[in-house]
Amino acid sequence: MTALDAGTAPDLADAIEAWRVWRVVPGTGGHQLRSVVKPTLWPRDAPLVAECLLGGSLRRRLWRRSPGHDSPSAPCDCGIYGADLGLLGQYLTPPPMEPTLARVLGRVLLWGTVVECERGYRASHAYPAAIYVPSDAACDGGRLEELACGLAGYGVPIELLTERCLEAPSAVARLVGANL
Amino acid sequence: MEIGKPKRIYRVEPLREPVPARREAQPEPAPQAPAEPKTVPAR
Repeated sequence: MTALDAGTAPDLADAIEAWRVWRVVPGTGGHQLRSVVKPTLWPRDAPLVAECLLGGSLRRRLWRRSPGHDSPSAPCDCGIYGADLGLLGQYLTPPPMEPTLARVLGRVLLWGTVVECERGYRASHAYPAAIYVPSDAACDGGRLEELACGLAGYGVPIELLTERCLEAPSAVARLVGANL
Repeated sequence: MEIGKPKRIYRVEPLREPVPARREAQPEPAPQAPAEPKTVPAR
């Protein structure tokens, strides 16, 4: 068995914690988290389950010629991403005209098949564990309290930060005692 | 996100799925009838 072969017995009995950024978009019955890069909506009360959505490079296209594969797969780049807190800063500022209520950061639990990478993970199952809202997160100048209420359906702690997006990863690191 | 090259695959099976239990709406408690005024028999 190589180092990248998944064994059959579980290696861990606790979900892995990592960090990520979400877009907040209007949903039915409240706001919904959406992935930043892919148009994936994160369900409330149920885990997000990965599927391969990648196209693009020749390597990926060749890989995708084979019948559908389970996600994540080590040779592909698919899966639900979680990263080190220090990687998030660049994803917190939305591009102009993005149809988004806000961008928020948070802790994410990853489980199932999890590919450990150099600065993060790609997983088959995920659910948010905590959401942090920077003070300038609301794209349309909306109230942060309303934003937080709209995300209450995820049933996880939501914290309003006094820091802006730029300083948010450092502020969260101080709050939870994590390293950047 | 640029998280670098894969190093290892884990099989992670939490004992309980880490999703908060759906919060069911609690039924409203039935309104209680006002207590009957106690009458004291006249002596």
